[in-house]
Amino acid sequence: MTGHSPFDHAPDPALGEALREVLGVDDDAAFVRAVLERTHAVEPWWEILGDWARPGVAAALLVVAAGAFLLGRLVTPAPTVLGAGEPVQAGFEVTALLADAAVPDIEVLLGEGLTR
Amino acid sequence: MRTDRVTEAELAALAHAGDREAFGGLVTRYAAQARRVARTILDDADDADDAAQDGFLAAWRHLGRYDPARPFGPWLLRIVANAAADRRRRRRVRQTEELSPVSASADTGPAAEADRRALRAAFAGALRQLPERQRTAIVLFDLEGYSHAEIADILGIPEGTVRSDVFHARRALRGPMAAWRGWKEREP
Repeated sequence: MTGHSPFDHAPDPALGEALREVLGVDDDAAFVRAVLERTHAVEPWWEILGDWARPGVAAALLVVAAGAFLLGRLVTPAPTVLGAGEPVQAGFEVTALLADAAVPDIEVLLGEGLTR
Repeated sequence: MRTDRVTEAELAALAHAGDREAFGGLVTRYAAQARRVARTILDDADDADDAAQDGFLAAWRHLGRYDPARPFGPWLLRIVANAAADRRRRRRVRQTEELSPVSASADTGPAAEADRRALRAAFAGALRQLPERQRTAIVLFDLEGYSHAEIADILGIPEGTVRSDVFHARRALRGPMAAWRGWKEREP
C-alpha cells in the first residue's frame, strides 16, 4: 500500500505480494494429483447416463414387444362362429357335402365312403 | 496433448467430453488461486485444500453449465468459494487461536527472525479479523487481479459492494502492512 490509496481502482502489487506470502500454498502438483485421483471416483454424467440407458433400453424393448403382441391380437380377426351351412374345412369333400344345403344323394355319399 | 496452448474454453469443452487430461490442465492453471481463495474463507489449511478439491470436483460434474463465452476463472472460483463457505458452515470450523505478535515474538531463534514473524503474524491476524466477504474481495482484487465486476460475479454481490469491501479491507490492512513492509525494507 505504498503510494496506493484505499480508493485506488487498480490492484496494489505490494499488498498482493503480502497476501500471497500469508496465504502461501505449496506443492500445487500434489494438489492437482489429488484432484485428478478424485475425479476417477466420480462418475461423469455420460457414464451415469450410460448406466441408466442400459436398463432403460431393455425396458423400452420389453414395452415395444408387449405393445406389438397386444396390437397383433387386436388386428388379427377373431375366429368366427361357423354357421350351420358353412364348411368346416375347405378342400375336404365330405365337409363340402355336409355344407351343401341340398340333401346329398345317397349314391354320392356311399361312393365317397368307398373311395376312402 | 499440450494443454498450455489450448484456450480455457477448449479445455473445458474437452473436459466436458470426458478428457481428464484437459481437466488436469484447468486444475493446474487454477490450483493456486483456488487454494488461496479457500484459505481466505477457511482458517485451516487442510480444510481449505479439501474445499478447493470439492470445488474442482463440483466444477468437473457441472462443466455443462459453464458458458465458454465467459472467462473460466470467475466461474470456477465462485464454485470454490461456495464449497469453502459450505464446509465452514457444516463443520463450524474450530476457531484457530489468533497468533498475537507477543506470542510470535516468543519464538525461539534470533530476535530479528522473531520480529519478522511477529509483523507477518500481525498482518495475517488483521486479515483474519476482516469480515469474510471483505477478506475474499481483497484477495481476489489485489492478489488474484480480478476486476470489481468479476468479483461481484464470483461472490454474487453488487459491484458497488465489492468496491466498498476492497476499500474497507485496504484501510484495515494498511497499518500492519506498513509495519511489515517497513521491517522488510530495513532488512539487510
